[in-house]
Amino acid sequence: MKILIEADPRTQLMIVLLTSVAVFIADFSVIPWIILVVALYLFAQGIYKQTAQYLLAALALYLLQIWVSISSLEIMTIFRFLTFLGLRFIPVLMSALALARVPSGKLIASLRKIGLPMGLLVTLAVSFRFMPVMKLEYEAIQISARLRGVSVVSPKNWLRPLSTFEYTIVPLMMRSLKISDELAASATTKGIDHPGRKTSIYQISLGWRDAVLTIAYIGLLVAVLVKGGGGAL
Amino acid sequence: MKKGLRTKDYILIGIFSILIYVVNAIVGFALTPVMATSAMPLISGVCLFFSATVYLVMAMKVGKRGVLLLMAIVTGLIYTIMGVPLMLAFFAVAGLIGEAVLLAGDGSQYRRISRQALAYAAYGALFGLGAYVTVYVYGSDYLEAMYAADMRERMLYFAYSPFWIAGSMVFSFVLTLLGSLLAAKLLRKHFLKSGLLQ
Repeated sequence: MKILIEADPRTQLMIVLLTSVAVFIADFSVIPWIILVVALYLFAQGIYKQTAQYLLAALALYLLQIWVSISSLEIMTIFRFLTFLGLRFIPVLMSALALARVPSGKLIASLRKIGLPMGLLVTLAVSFRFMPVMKLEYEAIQISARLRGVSVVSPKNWLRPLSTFEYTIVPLMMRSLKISDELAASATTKGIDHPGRKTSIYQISLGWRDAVLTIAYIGLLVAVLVKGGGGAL
Repeated sequence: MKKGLRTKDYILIGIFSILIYVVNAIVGFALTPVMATSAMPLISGVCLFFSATVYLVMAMKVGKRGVLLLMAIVTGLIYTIMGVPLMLAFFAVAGLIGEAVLLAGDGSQYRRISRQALAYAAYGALFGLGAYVTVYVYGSDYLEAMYAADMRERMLYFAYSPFWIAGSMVFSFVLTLLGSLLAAKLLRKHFLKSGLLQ
């Protein structure tokens, strides 16, 4: 996969924040356009498959939204609430995709340049990396839970929410404790507690690509917002 | 060496904050269709009932100052990325209030379940108000963009009803404490016995 524009993690973070602000002030009718802008940004960075998946998901939500709004059933208002929320989150989640692909060493080295305290940085880097890991762990736990008949998925267990919660959360927390121990050991051997100046294998610098990317992104967002009638603009 | 958070604590807090966030989100998501129109302000209390277990395991494991605040900041940052930057400040304040509950004592209070439960309950009482703080600060224009018309009316009704707001805070507080009872049971049954926590 060829990366057309390799952006600095700081730029990518900036773009996540810009997107979230844009989604916040935008009219609902503008959201599809914002999704398109984010998709362009992702394509420029060579992320094709996941972008396509998100675009399909957005399309599905949009169709559901239309179907819900023409249907007259009372219960549909709840779905409408969920599709509203879903469509608002998709652009921001998409813009975070690029950031999620940055190796954590590079992420930390780059964010350290902003001057965030190391403790907060480590916490953040770990927490955002942990989501996919937790999904895998959860799936593994559910496999054995299903064998024992205590899975969250089977409706008969919903009648005993407390025990079902216990059977799910306790193994998950056990694993999390273990993973955090392993991560801490691994980070310590790599010298995370070294008090002096840290170096990184990654070259971190803001180049003209970052400037072009940010300006183009802001330009596109503003164009979309002005044309579509953003609420606050 | 003993004072202050160290790298391994930061890593643990990072992982468990996400766990707490996910538990809250899943419970909230599951309850939204059932309770959104009838008793929306009470949802967060039920979320906290379940996440109290996760918080207490984390707090017991680390046993130092700053756990609740750091968790609150991570939660706030997740909301910031999701498009509500105001939540970062709000959760930081809630976290500080929770830390204030823990402040008095000789240091052993950070390893006492009852004190940690009280701190999480104090944080939780504010946590539930998050959605309404957004309503107060940004006004109804924000809701107009965010939610469908019927939903918006319900939210405004809840946000400006003193009865619901006070009720929500008390409900969150009490349910967090109840959740801590469950948590204490689970901790004794699984974590203390196995020696994972002392």
